[in-house]
Amino acid sequence: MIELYFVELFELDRDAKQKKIATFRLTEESSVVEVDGNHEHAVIKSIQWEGIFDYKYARPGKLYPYDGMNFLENLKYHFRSGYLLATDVKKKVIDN
Amino acid sequence: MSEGHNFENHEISPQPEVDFKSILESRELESIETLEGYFPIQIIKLKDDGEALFKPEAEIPGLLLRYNKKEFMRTNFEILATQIDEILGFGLVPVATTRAINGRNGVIQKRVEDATVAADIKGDWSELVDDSEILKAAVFDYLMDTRDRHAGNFLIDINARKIWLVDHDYIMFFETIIPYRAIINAAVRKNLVKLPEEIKKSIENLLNRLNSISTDNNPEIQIILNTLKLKAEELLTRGTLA
Repeated sequence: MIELYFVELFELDRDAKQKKIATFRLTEESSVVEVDGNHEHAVIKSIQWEGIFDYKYARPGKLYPYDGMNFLENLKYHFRSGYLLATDVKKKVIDN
Repeated sequence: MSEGHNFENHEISPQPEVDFKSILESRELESIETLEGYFPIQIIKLKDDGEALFKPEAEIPGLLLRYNKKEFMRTNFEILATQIDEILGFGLVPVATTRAINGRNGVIQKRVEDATVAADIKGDWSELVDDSEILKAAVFDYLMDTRDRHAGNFLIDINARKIWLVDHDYIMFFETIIPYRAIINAAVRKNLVKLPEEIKKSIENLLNRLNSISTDNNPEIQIILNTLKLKAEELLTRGTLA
């Protein structure tokens, strides 16, 4: 059994419909967040390269996928406009 | 070709200005759909008039305590941003107003159509908009002391070469230790820092009308306005953004 933590990121398209552009995944076995989605998508590229701020603990510096859960937990604060909107961290248990 | 048609003369009669604020306040709602995501946002289809985003004032389960208390003030912040933009005459913030939907108060804001979130643009977004837009948006962000203007919080209309600023909530005005200032940084990088007379007049107008803006005894709004006043005076004295 593996515990999987994930955040989904949606964007609003021209027809005002939400479209999932990425799933950010973290398992117990890894300390790095993996990204499922089109890695050429500008949003996904920029977040991996430029990182996001630590809204939760207001600590200086940026968070990147290699920051694991800290990165995952902050995605919902970074993407909150509606045009781009992230979910909370969700948990799923997978049979291995 | 029927007589009376003159295809040489393209004179267009002036169109009546659409009052989107009234539409947002009272237009019949065709559908309401809750978006998938942590922050509660609904997409509202207005009868015959496009879509709007509705952000209700609500407690959000699990939200950081320091944000949850302030989430109820989102409406005040969003409305303040539209008021300041309106007085400046910049046209950068989509029209917004207050409304109760399904018994919940909140802010309803026109959805920007035909625009792309800046983060979704491959390459340099600042090459796709007019310099005057970058300067106006940078002045707005400077005056409002916005702290979370990353590329996910503004949109680019590539055809109109225009910027739209969104997401004016508590985090935008009071959070992050090292602020995101994507637009101010772009203005400085492109050396768009000298204020033309037109923008100076807009700032003067804002200073003259600052007292007419209601704070609703809200200390955070008062802080934003106090800072804005200082920054506006400073900009006028200096004549430059840098």
